[in-house]
Formats: sequence, C-alpha cells, structure tokens
Amino acid sequence: MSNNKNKSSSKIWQLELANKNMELEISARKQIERSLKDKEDRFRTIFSHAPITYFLCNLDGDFLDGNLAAHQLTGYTNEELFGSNFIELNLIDKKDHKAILEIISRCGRGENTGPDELSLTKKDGSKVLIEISTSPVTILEQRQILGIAQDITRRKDSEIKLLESEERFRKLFDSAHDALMTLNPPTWKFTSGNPAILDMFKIKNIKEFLTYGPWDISPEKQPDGRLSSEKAEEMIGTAMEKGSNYFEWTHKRINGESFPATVLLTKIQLKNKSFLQATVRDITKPKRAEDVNKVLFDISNAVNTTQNLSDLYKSIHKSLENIIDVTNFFIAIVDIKKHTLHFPYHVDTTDDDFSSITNFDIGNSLTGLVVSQRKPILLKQKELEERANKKGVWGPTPLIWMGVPLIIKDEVIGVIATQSYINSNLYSIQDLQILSAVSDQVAIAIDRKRSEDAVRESEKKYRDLFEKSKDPVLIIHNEKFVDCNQATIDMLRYKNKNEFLNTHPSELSPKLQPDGRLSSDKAEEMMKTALINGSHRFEWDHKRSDGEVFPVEVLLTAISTDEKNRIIHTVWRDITERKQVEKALKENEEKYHSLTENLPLGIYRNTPGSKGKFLEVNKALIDMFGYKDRESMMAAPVSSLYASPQTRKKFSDKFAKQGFVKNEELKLRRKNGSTFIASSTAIAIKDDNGKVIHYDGIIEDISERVKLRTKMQENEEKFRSIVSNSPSIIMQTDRQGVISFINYKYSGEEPEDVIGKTIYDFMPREFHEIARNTIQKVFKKGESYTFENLGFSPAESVVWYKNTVSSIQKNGKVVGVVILAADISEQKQTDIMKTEFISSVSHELRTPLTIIRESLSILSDELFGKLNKDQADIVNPCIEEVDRLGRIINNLLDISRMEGQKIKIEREMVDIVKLAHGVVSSFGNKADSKNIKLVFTPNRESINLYIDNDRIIQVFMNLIGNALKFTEEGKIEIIITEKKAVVECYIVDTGRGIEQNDLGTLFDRFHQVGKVMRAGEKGSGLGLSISKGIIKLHKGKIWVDSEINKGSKFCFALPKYSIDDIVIENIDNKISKVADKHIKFSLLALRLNNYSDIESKFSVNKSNATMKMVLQIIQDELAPGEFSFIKGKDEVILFSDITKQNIIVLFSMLEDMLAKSVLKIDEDLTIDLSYGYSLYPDDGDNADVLIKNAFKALINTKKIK
Amino acid sequence: MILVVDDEPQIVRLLALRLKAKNFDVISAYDGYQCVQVAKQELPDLILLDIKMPLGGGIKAFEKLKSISATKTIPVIFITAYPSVEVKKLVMDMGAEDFVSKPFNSDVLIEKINIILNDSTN
Repeated sequence: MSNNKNKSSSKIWQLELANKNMELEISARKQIERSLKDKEDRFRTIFSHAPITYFLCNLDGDFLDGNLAAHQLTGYTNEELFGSNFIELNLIDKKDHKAILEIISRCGRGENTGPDELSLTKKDGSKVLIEISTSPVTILEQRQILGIAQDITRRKDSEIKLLESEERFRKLFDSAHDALMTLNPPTWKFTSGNPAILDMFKIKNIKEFLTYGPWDISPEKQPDGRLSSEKAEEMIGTAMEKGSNYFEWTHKRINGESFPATVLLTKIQLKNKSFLQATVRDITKPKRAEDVNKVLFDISNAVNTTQNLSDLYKSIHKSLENIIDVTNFFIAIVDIKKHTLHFPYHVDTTDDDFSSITNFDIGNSLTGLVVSQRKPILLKQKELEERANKKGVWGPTPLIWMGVPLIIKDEVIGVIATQSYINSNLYSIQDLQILSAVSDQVAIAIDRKRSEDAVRESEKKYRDLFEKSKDPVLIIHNEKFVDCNQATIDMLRYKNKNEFLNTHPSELSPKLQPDGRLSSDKAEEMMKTALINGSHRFEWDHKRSDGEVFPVEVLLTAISTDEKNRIIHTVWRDITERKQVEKALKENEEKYHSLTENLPLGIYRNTPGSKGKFLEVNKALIDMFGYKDRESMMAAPVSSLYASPQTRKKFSDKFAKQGFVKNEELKLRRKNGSTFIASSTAIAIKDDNGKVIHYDGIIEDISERVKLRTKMQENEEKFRSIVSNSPSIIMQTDRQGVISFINYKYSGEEPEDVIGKTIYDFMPREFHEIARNTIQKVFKKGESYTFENLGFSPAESVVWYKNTVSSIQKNGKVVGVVILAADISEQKQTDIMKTEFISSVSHELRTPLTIIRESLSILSDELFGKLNKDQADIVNPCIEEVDRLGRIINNLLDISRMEGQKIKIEREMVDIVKLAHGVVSSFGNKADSKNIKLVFTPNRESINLYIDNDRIIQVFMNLIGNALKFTEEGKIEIIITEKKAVVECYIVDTGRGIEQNDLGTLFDRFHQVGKVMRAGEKGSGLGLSISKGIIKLHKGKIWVDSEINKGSKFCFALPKYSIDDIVIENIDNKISKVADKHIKFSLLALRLNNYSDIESKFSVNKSNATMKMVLQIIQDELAPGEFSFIKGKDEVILFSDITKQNIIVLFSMLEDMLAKSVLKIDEDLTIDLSYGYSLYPDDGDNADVLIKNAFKALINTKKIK
Repeated sequence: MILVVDDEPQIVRLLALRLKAKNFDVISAYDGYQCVQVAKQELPDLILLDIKMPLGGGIKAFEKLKSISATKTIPVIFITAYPSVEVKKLVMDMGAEDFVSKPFNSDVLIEKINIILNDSTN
C-alpha cells in the first residue's frame, strides 16, 4: 500500500512540475511578446510621429488609417477620418475632385501616382495646398492605397511672394523717367535737357545743367578704371562716326553720388551741322531689382545648401549685403509663448552684447515694436533720440534703425533689422521696402530650415534608436541587408558593418535551417511573406563571423511594398537562451511523456462538466479501460467510465468539497461493460479567475490488490484463528533468534515480555548449540528442521519442547523463521520411562541369564561328569542362545540410550587404519573357517580421525560381522579411502545381497533381512540401527548399495575435523558444561617462535618432533587428563582449571623438562617459546575469542638450550 | 585365593564351582560390607566384585579397599549387570583391573584372572 502511495504522490509531483514548467513557458512567451510589442510600439511611434503625413485608404477613397501628421494636416482625428471618404468630408476642393478620383483609380490599377498638387480644406475651414503621392499596397490580401501628403502651402507662398516682388519692381522700373539731353560739338556741352535730368542728377534747374558737360556728371573714373573724360570722348567719337552708340556708364549726381546708367547716343544731322542726343537711363533701380531677385533666389536656395539654421542666417546676411548696407545686422526670433526674443544671429560694429538680450518685453524695444506692430519700421536720428530719452534703448543708440517683421501665416516669427551709427541718411523708404520684400522669403527660409532641422532631429532620434537598440535592427533592401545597428555587428561578431552589408540574409545563415530547408529558399519565402502580410515573425538560425550558429527570432516589417524598393525593417532577438529553455522543456516534456506513457498507472486530462472529454490519455489508461486505441478512448465521454451515476456524483462531490481527491477508491466501467475497482487521484487546473480549465488525474486498477487484500484478510483471519487455537507455541525469530512474535506465554512469561528476547534465554545452555545450528540450517537451506530442547518452567517441572523451525521467505530469501514449539514433556516422559524400563528390564535379565549361562557352561565343561552326545547337543546350543540373548540385551541398551540421547561419544584422535586393521584381524579365524578371504585396503598408511574409538570399532564389528554372516564364499574387502573432507570406509562382500525393497528400511530397529534365519546367521537385528546411530553421532553418513546374489557394499563416511574445529568444539563443550555453574577455566597458548628456524637448520621432522615433545610433556607430566593439542604447526593450546599463578609455575616446570629432553632431539637445538593466557569468562565467552586473546597476550619468551 | 562378591548366592556358588574346578581357593561375600571385612581378614589374591549390592555397593567397597593399606593392592575385577561406559571409566580410573558385564563367558574370565595373577606373582 505504502509503495503505491509513493508512486501516486510522485506522479502528482510530476504533474505539478509539468504545470510549473508550463507556467514558466507561458511567462517566457509573454515576455517575448511584450518585448516585441515594445518594438512595435516604438516603430509605431516613429511612424505616427513622422513629420510626413501617411494615410491608408481603400479603393473607394475611404480612410482606413493615418498617422499623427495626417491628423494635424486635416484637423480631423483618426476616428473621424476612419471610414470617411475624401469627398464626404469636403476635404478636397471641388475643383480638385476630378483629380483625386483620377489618382485613386490609377492607384487602384496598381500605378504609383504623384506628386500632384491639390487644395485641401481643413476641418476649421482653412485651406492648405498639399502634394499627394500614392502607392498601391496589399495588406491582409486587400488592395489598399498608401498615400503620402505634404503641406506645400508655404512653398507656394514663397513662390507667389517672389512673383509679387518681381511685379512690384517692374512697376518701379516702369515709372522711372529717362533723362534726355543734347550736346553739341566741339565742346560737347549740354545744350538742352528734360525735367527728368533735375531729379536724376539732383540739379536745381536746367540753366545750371547747361553749364555742364558729360564729364561733369561722371565720376573721375569709370568702373573699368578709364578716365571718364577720355572714355566719354571715345563714346562720342564712336556715336558721331557710326550714328549711334549704346553703352553703360556710371554717372555722378551733383551731390557726388554715383549711379549706373545706360546711355544711348544718337547723331542728329541738321543741314551741315550735326549734334548728339543722349538718353540716360538711371539703371540703379533695375539693377537693384535684379539684385533683389538674386538675393531672393539665394535665400530660397540657401535653405537647401546650408547645413543648419545658423548657416542659413549667415547666408541670409551675406545675400543681403548685395542690396543693403548690412554692416550692423541682426535676426531676432520670437517665442510668442514665452513672450521673448532672442538673437540667434547678429553682427554689430558697436554693440557686442546681443547674447544678453535674450529675454525682454517685446513691447519695450525697437525689435519688439516691429513684432507688435507687425510692420516694417524705419526710424531716423531724431525719432531715435526722442525714444532713447523717453524709454531708453538697449545698447548704444544708432543714428538710423530699420527693422522688418518676419511673418509666416500671419504670425510674426521674428525680425530682421539693420542700423548705422555713422550715417543718419543711410537708409531710405525704398531700402525699407526692399528689406520688407526680402523679409517674406527670409521668413519662409527660416521656417523651412527650422522644420527641416526638426525633421533632421527626429531622424537623428530615430537613428539613435536604431543604433542604440539593444536588439539587432537591420534594413533589408532588394533582398539584401543594407544597414544595421551596432547590436547587429556585436551579435554577428564582425568588426564593422561593411564586412557583411549588401549580402543576402541566407549568406549570414548556415546552409540549412533546423527544419532541414535551404536557408536561401526559406529566406526568400520569409521576406515574401513579410511583404505580403506587412510583417512576419519566425525563428531563424543565423551564423556568426566565426561560424557559430545561433537561433534568433526575426521580425520583418515591410516599410515599403513597392516592387522596386523592398525595404524591410528587420529585428533579431537572440533566443539562444530561450531555445535552451525550450530544449530543456522539450526534453522534460518527452521525459514526462515517456514516463506517463510507460507508467503502469492510467494518466489523463479531461475537460470539466457533464460532457467532459479526455484531452490526454496514456497507454495504461487505454488498456485499463479496454479501448482499442487512443482515438476511441478520447471520443468517449468521461462520465461513461463511472460504474454508475451515483459513483460519479460521490466522486465529484468529494472533489468539489476538497478541491482534489487522493487515492479515492471507486468503481469504474470498462468499454465492454465490466467494472473494476480503481484508486483515483485528481487535481483541478484553474485559470487566473479560478475557473476550472481541466482536470489532471491518475487512475490505478486496484482490483487485484483489493482481491489480494481480501484474500490476505481472510488468510490473516485464518492464520490468526489457527495461531490462537494452536496447542503449540508459535513464534517468529530472526537469524539471531530474537523473538518478534509469540502467541502464548512462554516459560511463564507474558508474550509482551518475551518479544525482544532470544530463544536462548528460554533454554539451558546445552541446547543453545543445537538450536543455533538448526536456525542457521533453516536460513541456509530454506527447509524445515526440528530440534528438541528442555525449557524452563515456572513450576520447576520439566518441560520438553519439540521445535519445528520453518523459514519465512521474501523474494526467495530467508528473512526469518517460524518456530513451532510443541510441548512434548509427556511424550518425553513416556520415552524416558520406556528407556528406563528397557534399561532396568535388560539389567534385571542379566543376573538370571548369568546363572543360566554359568550353569550350562559348568555342565558343558563336564565338571560334574561326562555328557553323552545327545546331552551335549542340548546343552551347547543353549549356551549359544544365552550369549545371543546377552547381545540382544546389550544392543537394546545401546539403542535406548541413543534414543534417550544418553549416549555420548568420547572422541579422541584415532588412527582409523590401525583401528580397522585390528577389527579385521579379529575376524580372521571366523573367515578362515568359512573359507572367505578378508582383504584390507586402506589408501593411506595411517589416517588420524577425531572419533570415539570403541564406537567405531563397534561399527566395523557390526558391518564385517554382517558381511561374514551373509557371505558363503568369495571375499570380503574392507576399503578405507581418505578424501578431502571425509574418510570413507567400505565393507564389500560377495554375499547374497539384499532385496531392493528392503534397502529403505535396512537401518531401522529390529529389522533383519529375510524371514528365514539359518543357523549361525542370527543377529539381534539391532546392529545396523546402532551403527547408523553411532555414525550419526559422529556427524557422518552411512549407506548401502546391494545387488541380489552378487553382494552388498556398506559404506560410511566420517568427517575429517580440522584441529581448529576440534579445539573449538572442545572449548565450547567445556563452556556449555561450566557455563551456568560460575566455574572459571583457563586457556594457555604456547608458541614455538623458532619453528621455521629449526625446520631450516635441521629438518621438518625435528621441528615437528620438538612440538610433539612439548605436547607430550604437557599431556604426560604437567596436565594429564586436560585437553591439549597442537594448533597449526607451531602452536600448542591447553585448557584446564589452572590459575594464572599456576600457569607461571607450570611454564617454569615445562622449561626444566624441555631442557632435559631437548638433547634427545638434537644437541644443538635451541627452543624459543612464548606463552599467553586467557580466562573464561573474563576474557571471552566463546572459543574463538578466548583463543584469540590467549595468543594476543603472548608474553614471555624463553630460550631453552 | 579368590574372593567372589555378589548379592546373588547362585552366582557366587556357580563361580566358586568353576574356580575350584580350576584349582583356585574361593571365599565369598554377599554385600559390600562383608566384602571389605573378608578381604581385610583373608587378604585374597583377587576379588571378583559385583557393583549393585546391598550394604554399600561394589564401588563403595572398592573405595574402602583402596583406602586400607592391606587391601589396597588386591586386584579387583568388576562384574556387573549394569555395564556402562561411564561406570567402566570410573572404576578403571579408580584402579580396577577389569570390567566384565553379565552374562560373562567364564572361560574368558578365568583367562583374565590367570593373566592378572601371573603378572602380580611376577
């Protein structure tokens, strides 16, 4: 039971582990998803915050999606836009409806369109000009239109302003008046002039003009460096010669100011008098307009050519130099929200403290005045001084100041201003006009540059994100990696990106992917999928520069789906760790799976509810329920597996109550309808809300166990009843005889007191050996054996037990014994009485028998007169019968003694060859008289055995006697063979043989072969029985082979005892004799230390003779009648009752005697002896320990010469 | 002179007959006490001694005989109806010449007697 419990609980543990792993797996997935989502979010953020408007619409022009810029451009929220149509929203001006429909339909046909300019009406009604480009895309297998729109209002404004400026200057130019004059030879003084001359040359009246010649209104030198007078003469000469001359000329006003002009000299011929008419056109203004246009163009261009705003400011300043004196110049930028001005650009000859004027009230300064009045301001010296006195001016007060607001979409974004500290007439209204005209372009340029910078910044931000992303990010263009971030380089272990850019993804991969497909093929497919679906996520094996392959999760996002520009945003995520986790998980899963499949327990997972189905079943479960395969079992409703609805209800009630069930016994139904008892353990797996998702459980078919349990219970009942009703004591012990169970009082002690004690505590010492040997034998052989013992009895009466010892086996190994102790005291008593009866009868018979025999013998010996033949024939057989009666009586006594275990064999070392020879010789006469040859063949000259001399003689007598008795002719052979562990003796005759039927009972009491006895063959019928008893007492074996009319072969084998066995037996015998009598005895050990020296110096014979001499002296002189012997070759053991003091005396006596005897062996012999001593029971309670301690205590070393 | 000791008169009579036939002088006793008294007085050459007898068995009598200097050296052959290894060992250790169990072969017994007596005379 407990074993099964362990199995079940370990199973539950497995399930818990699996669940835990699943949770881990889920959290790992979640984490990955989260990080991907982060990346998507990031990408989405970049997309949605891009300064360029993106939108998606379907082929009907309905909005599907758009970014933040789209919302800003239109003023509508994404929700308002979503699902609405361009036209519905009136987003596009009516005039452009046709154009937009055209764009949509073209894009619908798969064309890219644009850029097209369209007019867009925002939600608030304001209008902006946009430029739209579209591309067809397929998202989720639907054709859609990706549009990119751009607000080009400002660009348009700037173009329009430029046009307006040109217009304005053209007018200025047109309104200018040419100066017309005539000049005559030879002095070439002016002779007439129109009013335009006065304005042009700043001359007060024409009269004054007529006093001048051309050189008077020209600077000294012309721009090419020639003297104006010389050049003028040349020009006049040419005109006179050719009729006209048109050239550029620098003139000079009276106030000294030079100005560019064109001059057309025309020769006018009057009679023979000719003169020149000159048309002078002041080209200062056209020149300026040209310059202004050039400046406007430069500024507009500067937006594209400059790197950043400050470069642009510098460029603007430089451009303005061409049209206006901008020696002192600054650009102020307004921050309306903060109500501040700052000066990102300023050049000033006097004031170098612009940096400190970053934050002042816009109403409290000249610049601020321009901002608040939103118009150009020109302040002359007088006004400036007044203002300086009244409100104060920042920095040094200039002599003239001119500032123009920079306006974008009706909003002042800044001011450009210029001033002079030296020339109070440096700027005119015209200059202000020019500056104003330029200001629009400057404003647009600054604004554009500013937004460009913003874009660049956002680009930079994106670039940073891209570069600093911890996950590798790559850009695929036309199926090649074209860019990547540092993380990619690190992951691939390259030095820089140029080493691997412009490669196909498969070139950075192993040849094959884990699924066995070619990387090149699969990569194509992955990219295609990404382009079709917009994005694609998958796992991929990449390869580092050093060839190492590593797994990544790849997310491809198509950025452009234009066939020609496949740009795919690629993110890798190193999933090595995850892969490892997955691998470990998979291994675990496989392990778990194989475990569940191979477990002898049914394991399942099912869904809850009355219609619950199996989700998983293992093989054991399928087999258990008798389904033919997994599918059929999975198809069966779970409820059908219960033996009855009541069973199911009981089970689910218990489940509901506890939340689980453990080792619940219930009746289940197989497919064929039969039922069985099962033990079920189940747990519910719940989701986060506590709702049961499914049940996991284990089912074990315990029918057999239940049957077995029932049977065991019955058996136990039976056994218990047998035990408790048994007349015998039944106990269980282990190898050491410790009692673990007993059914009755034993020796007057209650069972609870008996348990824990040994059986030896309940019997006299002399039975310990037989009890111990019997138990050992049962442990060794597993069979039952018996022994009898005398038990202690509380009433001091004698109790005899006959113990039957049987083994308790577990897995073929004996683990204990059951002892059935039957009280045989009564039977014993009877036996003793019988034995005593036989003994006393036998003895009582001896006396009359003696009288009879002696009387007959006297008659037979004819002491009282001669007997005639008839008389002698009667008397003599009577004597023989009396002798036989005597033998029968002797044998009867032997038998009864043996049965009463009263016979004790007295063993000693005996040469069995010599012994047998004596017996054989004694039969010599008898054999001769029967003419039978006695052959004696021992295989050794002498064989010493530890036997009872007289008893073994008795055996030989019996067997040889029998052989002679039953043999008529031939021979009787007596063979003695020494084998390794035994000595075998054979008595082989050529007699009549024994019937096969009789062989089995041959050694039984009073058995004699054959019914008919012949004269001289009569025996007591007890000889073989006695022989068997004697051999058994010697722990030998006796047996017979026989063939009728051929002869018989009686054999007995006697064990060869080693000296150690004998010693131990003797000592143990002694111990058992003295044990309970508080008698001490001692053990003396002697060792001949120089045994091997003697052997090598003299001979083996002499070393052995030395030992024999020592033993002889001990046996004959020092301790006659005590047990002593040679152990090994060089050690002697003696045990006796001598005390320690006497040992020393004994040893000194031994020394003396040895000293006298040593000469007998060899004159040069030296004996080196040491001795030790141990005492029973002080130094040990068994032979082994006593001997060991005696030799351990070896001390004195005596050298005897 | 041989002293035959046995509490069974028939045995004493038959042994005496047999011994006399072999020219031995025979005296007799019928219990242990008599045995010692007769032996002390007559100092026989050999004693055939039964063990189980009234008034002190053979063994007691033998002990007594051994304790008296005059009788100490008289050879004793035990003849018993209760032979056993232990008793045999006991009496032999005490110094008995032999141990014969009943019924005995009188020829063998007389042979033993002759040997003992010849030894002692030598």
